[in-house]
Order: sequence, then structure tokens, then C-alpha cells
Amino acid sequence: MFEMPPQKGRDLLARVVVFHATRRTIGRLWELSEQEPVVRKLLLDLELSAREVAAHDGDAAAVAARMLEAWCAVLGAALQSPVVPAVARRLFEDMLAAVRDRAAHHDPFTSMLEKVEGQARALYGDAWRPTELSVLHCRTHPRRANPAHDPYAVTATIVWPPTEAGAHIELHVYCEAFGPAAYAAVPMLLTHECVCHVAARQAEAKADSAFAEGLLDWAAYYFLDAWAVKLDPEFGPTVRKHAQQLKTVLMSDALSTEGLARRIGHDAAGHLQAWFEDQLLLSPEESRVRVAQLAVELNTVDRPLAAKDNLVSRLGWPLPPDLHDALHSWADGGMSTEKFLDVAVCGAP
Amino acid sequence: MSRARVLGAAAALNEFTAAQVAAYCEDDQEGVLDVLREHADLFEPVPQARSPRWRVTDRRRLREIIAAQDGTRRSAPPRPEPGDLSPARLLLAEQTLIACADEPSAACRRTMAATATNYLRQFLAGLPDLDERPRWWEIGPACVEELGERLSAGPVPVSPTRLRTDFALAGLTGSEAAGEDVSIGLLIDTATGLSRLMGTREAGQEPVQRLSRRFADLAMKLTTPSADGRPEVAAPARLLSALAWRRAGPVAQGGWERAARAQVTLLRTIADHHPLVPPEGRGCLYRVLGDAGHGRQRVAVYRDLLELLPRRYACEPVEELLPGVVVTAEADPRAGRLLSGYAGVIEEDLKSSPYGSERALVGQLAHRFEEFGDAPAHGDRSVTDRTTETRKELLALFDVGV
Repeated sequence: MFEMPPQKGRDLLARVVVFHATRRTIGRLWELSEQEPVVRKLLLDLELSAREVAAHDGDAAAVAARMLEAWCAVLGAALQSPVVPAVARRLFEDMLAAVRDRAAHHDPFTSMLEKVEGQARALYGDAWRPTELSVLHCRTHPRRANPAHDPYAVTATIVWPPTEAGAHIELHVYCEAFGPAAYAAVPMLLTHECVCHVAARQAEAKADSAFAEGLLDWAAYYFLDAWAVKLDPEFGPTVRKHAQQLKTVLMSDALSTEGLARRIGHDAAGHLQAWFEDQLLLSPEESRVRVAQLAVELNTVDRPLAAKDNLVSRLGWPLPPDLHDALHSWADGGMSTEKFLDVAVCGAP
Repeated sequence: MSRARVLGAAAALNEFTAAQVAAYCEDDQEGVLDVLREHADLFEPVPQARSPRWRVTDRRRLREIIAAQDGTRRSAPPRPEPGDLSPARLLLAEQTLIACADEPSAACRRTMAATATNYLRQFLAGLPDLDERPRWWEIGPACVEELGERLSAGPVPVSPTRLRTDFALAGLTGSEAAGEDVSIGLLIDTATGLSRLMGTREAGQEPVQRLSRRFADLAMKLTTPSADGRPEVAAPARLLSALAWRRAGPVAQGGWERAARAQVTLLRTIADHHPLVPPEGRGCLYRVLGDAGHGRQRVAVYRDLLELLPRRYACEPVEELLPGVVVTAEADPRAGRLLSGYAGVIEEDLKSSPYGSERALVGQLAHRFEEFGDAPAHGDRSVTDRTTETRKELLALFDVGV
């Protein structure tokens, strides 16, 4: 699964094992690292411990066990320091208890994907494709950003095209800067790939698609918010928080192809939600359900991506009259999603 | 557990499994089933389903319960704020037009042109300077004229010329994709607008340069005869057209502004002379136009062929029929026979070529130039040197490796 030089793979695994074991607390760990030098030092110690463990050969289980043992020692030593403030001391104690109580989990990424896939499979039903995961090392930060400002040193892609046999998701990790925040963002990245791309019926991947990377991305955030605690009660709140922070980072990329498509697609989702509230008198919550439902159903309609992008382009406020009528029919159950797309797309300038 | 969310998902899906509803909620399947049981009067099992499914039996009552339970209802419906997405809409419109170059499906290109137009309209609709507030789908290029120079001073500075060009390009893209005839006058107007745009600061922006390249590709396509009408001239005409547009491009012209002006000239020449559509039975690369007096003939000839003439042969270029590519000339009989021979061989090569790409056609042409240039019969060393330079230039124009 880790497709990278063995030592780098062991280094990454060592960190991930610790993040998984202490996931209930890594949200606090990250926040405090911005305020407390002793917590920043702890993260540096984590990095060093991972390198030391990785320097020795061993399978995943051995690496995981050695790392947790090393981490217990690091936390124990940190707690001996007289300069640890009370809030950090409580955090270290919680982390130590978590590490001591757990058996090492040596494949957290696959475990995350399996949980996300379970939800996405229920969403897409027969349109779902089985997935497999590879974790690759990338030489630079995915957005060539400073990790101090953008800690999400990881991204995900799907090998195109997915086939009926399955879809191959790749996690691209900038291992040198992969910390707690990046780990907490992985469920959102996997959710994006599963919701937006695994079941998609389109001939090509397009980074500038306001439908695939915009409207569907909005749906992916909707679903991650719904699933986060179900997927992992201990980790859910932290996952939600970092999903939103990741979104802020990605949305701030105003001029990139993906950034444009994402912003426009999210805006279109907002307009659709407003329409459902205004025209069908649905609550904001119900309206979001309808928008997510429409996005997911459109994703499996066998039509060119250009048509779906055109639909998104027509979701400017206010919605044109013909789109009103078509949406009413669709919402009433009187028009299939496929027919809705055919009616709603404007093919001539 | 949010009962409202479970019931909302059930209402949205109308017919569902517990797992499907759970996928929209924070609840797991057991939690969903609990809610369904609690409101059993609103749902019924679907008979003979592969796995347990339910459907809604009383939508009105279900909606009432959802409304009563959902504490998130607002007192008044929302009105989305325009936000600051105007720059994004303009850029996405232009990116969509540029992406049409790589889209093989005509139907998709037509849809993409419509998509780009939607974003342009929404960009204009979002500007504060409009005197009236038209609905975005009613806005057209005329709005650009109404706003005029106020666009350059607005919250999203953009020149009227750029927007006019964007709208024109969307129109041309849609027409090309629909197989409609496009008047050369419209192409000249668009090229003229682009020429003005490339003389402004916006010319340094990557999207503007890519739009200029896209226009050139589109204009070339729209002015090159197709194989449907006269298959015997299709390949030679395609070669000449491709050469003309490449030589009018930014690399050959030494800059975007000069290229834009060259493209206006190119289009005007095409409009005036129709150089790519020779009379029936006449060749594209060489044809006799008439008597020039003093024993010479007036000919139309592919300009690079003149490099194959020994210096002792008389052939004087007179006028450009297709800038950089086809000229009229006054040729003595020996020059005429040689040019006619070379042109005939090359045209036969092109007509019978199994390769469709411009690069392949240029590769074939360059091969013949090498062969003709090295022939000892002409006895003029400068022919070899000149054709070598011509070959290099041709191959470089089309990025063909030597």
C-alpha cells in the first residue's frame, strides 16, 4: 500500500500509528502546538522518534509496536519536565493513556477508506465501484505552500478512468511535513474521492469541472459532516474541524483551475439550497439534503461532463424560469434526474 | 440523532433502504430504523424488493412533521448574496472557451460555449454599474457597450475589448460546433478586437494569450476548406492554411501584438483573394493566372517553392495572396515548368497521404524539399542551402523534431 522507499514508508507509518492511537486528542495537540513551546517540542520529538524507528527494518506490525513503545517513553519523559504547563500536562497524560491502552493499528489509512467507502456505497448503491488505496510520497507540498501556513501536506487523486472492476485512489503525502492536521484531513480527502469520482459516469477527469470539483465537492463536505462521528466517534469532531479548515485553504486558491471550479460549484449549491427553501418551503437542513441528493444522482447519469458543467453554470441567482419548472418536476418526483439534466442543459449560446 | 434529518432524507429519497437514508444522516441504520418504526404510519415496505426497502405513503403529513421537528427553519427565505465571485466567473468562462480546443465532441463544444456565455452574463449581471438590473440570462454583448469604459474602472477591472472578444469567441465556438457558416467579416471583426486587446496591459495575462491562440485555431478551422466539398484540394489547402496561421502566430511574428495584427491581415487577404479555393481543376500550390508579357507568365505559387529555383531562373514575386505562404509571381517558362513539376509532386503526396495531422503533412513536405534541394540537376549550390533553411523553418514552426 505504501508505494515509496521502505524507510520513508516506515517513517510515515510510525507517525500515523501515533496519530491514530491518540486521535481523540490530536485536535488539542495541534491547537496547543501553536501556543505552547513544549507541545511544539513534543511534535519534533515525534518526528525524531519516527525517524529512529524507521531506520530499522521491520514489517508494519513491528514498526507500529516499536513506535508506540518509543512514544510512551517520549511522553513519559515530557511529563517529567517541571516547565510543562497544566493544560499541556493534561494533554500529555491523555495521550499516554491512549497509547498504553491500545493495540497498535498498523494500517489506519485503509481502515479510514473502508469506513468512508461503506457510507459511499450505501449512497450510490449499484453504481458503486470497489476501491483500493495506494499511499505515495510526493516531493513537495501539494500546493507548494509553507507547511507553517498550510499544514495539509497531503492530497488525494483517483487513477482515471475508474473501471467497473474498481477505482484506484492515491494518497499523495508530503511525508516530511505530515503532521496531526494533515492526518485529520485524510477522511475528507477520501470522502471527496469517493463521493465525487469513484462512481462518476464521465469519460475524463477535469480539474476545472464546476460540477465534479465544485457541486459534488460541496456534497462531499455535506456527507463528511454527516458521517464524521459515525466513522470514528473519537476522531469525528477533529475530522470535521480540519475538513472545514482544509476547505478554507482550498477556497483561498482563487486563481487555480481547481479553485475556480470549486468556488463556482459551491456557490451553485448555495443557490440551489436557497431555491429549495424559497420555492418548496423546505428547511435549510432538508434543502441541503435535496442538493446533496441531486448532486449524487447527477453524478451517475450517463451524460457528458460538459452537460453537467453547463447545468452548474445555469445555477446563478436567480435561477432561470425553465430551471424553476424542471426543478419543481424533479422535486415532485415527476421527472427523473436524467430527464432533468437533459431539460435543464442549454445547448446553444 | 436528528429525527428531522432522517425524515428529511426519507422524504427526499421517497423510496429507500435504511442504509441509503443513513448515508445522508449522522445516524446509523439502526437509528434510521428506529425513526421509521416511530413513524410507521408514514411509510410502507416495498413488496418483493431484493433487500428491505420502504416508501413514503403520506408526503404531506411527513412534511408537516419535518417542519415541526426541524428547529433550523428560518422565518424568511434567504436571498443569496452576489459574493465576490465575479472574477472567478470571468476566468472560468475564458478557461471553458480555451478548453474547447481539446474537446473532440462538437456537441460538447457547443455546450461548453453556452456554459462560457452563462458565466460572462453572470459576470456582467454582478457588476454594480448597470443602470437597470436585468436578469443574467437576458444579458448579452450589448451590455458591454452600455457599460463601456466603466468596466475598466469597476471593482473587477476588465476592458470592454476583452469582454467583447470573450462573447465573440463563445459565439464562434458555438457556430463552429454546430457546423454553421461563419462570415469572414465576423472573423475579421473579432481579430480586429483581439488586435486592440493585445496592445493593452491585459495582453500580458496568460488567459488572454491563450484566448488569442484559441481564436487563431478556430479561425483557421473556419477558413480552411473541408474535405467534403473538394477532396482533391483538402490536404494541400489544409497545409497552406496551417502554414499561414503559424507564420502569423506570436512565435514567428515576435510577439502577441504583432501576431494579432498579422492575423487581421491574413483574414482580410483570405476574404479578398480566396487563395485556398482554386478554380476547378487548378492546383493549390501552383497555377497559371495569365500572361505577364515578355514571355513570362503570371502565376500563383506556394512561396517556399521559389527557394527551389536556381538563381538563373527568373521568377519575381509580386503580391501576397496568402500572407507568408502564397504569392503571385511573374515566372519565365523554365521557372514555371520547374515550379509546376515540384508543386504537382507535393500535391500528389498530400492528396494520397494517409496521415491527417498538420505535423505529418509538414513532415512530408520537408522530406520533398530535402529531396528536391539535393538534386544535382539544378547545378546551383544555393538551392541546397536555401531549401535546408526552409526545411528547418518549416519543421520548427510545427515543433517537428529533426
